[in-house]
Amino acid sequence: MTVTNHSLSFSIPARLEDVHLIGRSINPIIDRLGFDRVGSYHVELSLVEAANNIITHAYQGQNDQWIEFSLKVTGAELICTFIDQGASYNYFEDIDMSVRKTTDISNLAHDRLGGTIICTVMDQVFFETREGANHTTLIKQLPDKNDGD
Amino acid sequence: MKLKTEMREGVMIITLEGERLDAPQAEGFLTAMQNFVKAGNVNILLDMSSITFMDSTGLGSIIRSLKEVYSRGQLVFCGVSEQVTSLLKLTHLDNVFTIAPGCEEALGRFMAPPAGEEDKDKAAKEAPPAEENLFSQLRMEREDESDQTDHERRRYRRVTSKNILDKEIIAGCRSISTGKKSSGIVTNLSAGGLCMLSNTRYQVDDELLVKFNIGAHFKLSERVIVRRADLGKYGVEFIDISESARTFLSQLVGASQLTA
Repeated sequence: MTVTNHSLSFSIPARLEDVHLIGRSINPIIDRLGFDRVGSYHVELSLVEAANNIITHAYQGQNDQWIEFSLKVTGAELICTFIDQGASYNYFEDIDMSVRKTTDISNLAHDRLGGTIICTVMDQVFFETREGANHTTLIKQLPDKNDGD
Repeated sequence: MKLKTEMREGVMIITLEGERLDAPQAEGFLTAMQNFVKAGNVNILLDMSSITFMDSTGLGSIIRSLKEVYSRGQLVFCGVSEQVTSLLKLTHLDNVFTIAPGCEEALGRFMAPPAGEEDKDKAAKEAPPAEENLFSQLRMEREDESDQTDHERRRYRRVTSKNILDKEIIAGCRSISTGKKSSGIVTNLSAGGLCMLSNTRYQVDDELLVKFNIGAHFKLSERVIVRRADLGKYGVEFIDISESARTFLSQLVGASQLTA
């Protein structure tokens, strides 16, 4: 793991049970950037969802793979990038941002919520495949001092 | 993840132990919940006080648990952290789940459980009344208002009809599935549902369109689902009640309690 004043990068095994390591690593940094408790949770949640999607869709459960992660703070933005060598699958393309506002329990969606959450929480989301690797980039504006999230 | 269970007043209280309900935990959690339901526990209180992180997979397991339970009982949540609350808002589920701040308040959100084994035994021993005499018998039963003893355990405050009007509130009912029309006497009501007496036999989960007037100006026409059916006494719950009706009934119940 590499940490500087404005960036951090590390790799985690592509296993669902190891995804929580992302939160443990970034939370001390996120907390110093002015996010409140819910704002910090939203950032961690988005990163966890992105990692879960890579494990599930790109690596399709192959648990001997790795995910590279980097976090960078530039100006007023938090930029998080995941790199994986799995199948190229841009799950953001399939997202229905108008999550159904239904109170009919039998019609509630119980899967494929992760991409919607990421797109709701993050300000910008990019996915591209180049040189055999998938790059997923999530960008979040840092909170103003008088604005918790 | 460890789950601690306890039975109170017919409700299974499940306490989640651990800070995270995420992808690695979700499958085990869902399996446990499905097993609880299979064992007949359909009134479940989920104490989530310890959970500070939940992802979409964990949320999905809760939604699936809710689907397992909702047609036969209730799933109520307590101790939901601000982080989890924010996730429910993000996904527009905050109005779908029944959430209470603490365990005691959550227990109060449960509607009266379906007739238990004791009631079934009692019903089996008593000869069922003839259809034509049932209505008059039910009118007599109305006087003892025995179902009011559950008042504090219900999700919504309710008020008896005689505290609203001097005359009976007669509801017109139409079965959603068959179109068959019938009528009933509303004995008490709340913003969540009502109890009524009817000589038409309904089954639990039947859906009806119920219409009645309170005074000259308030006309209610709402879909309901039968939650309790006990010898002509029915507990029904509103389905997607209109905001105007909910507001009126809430104010009506509040005003009745203030003046009682």
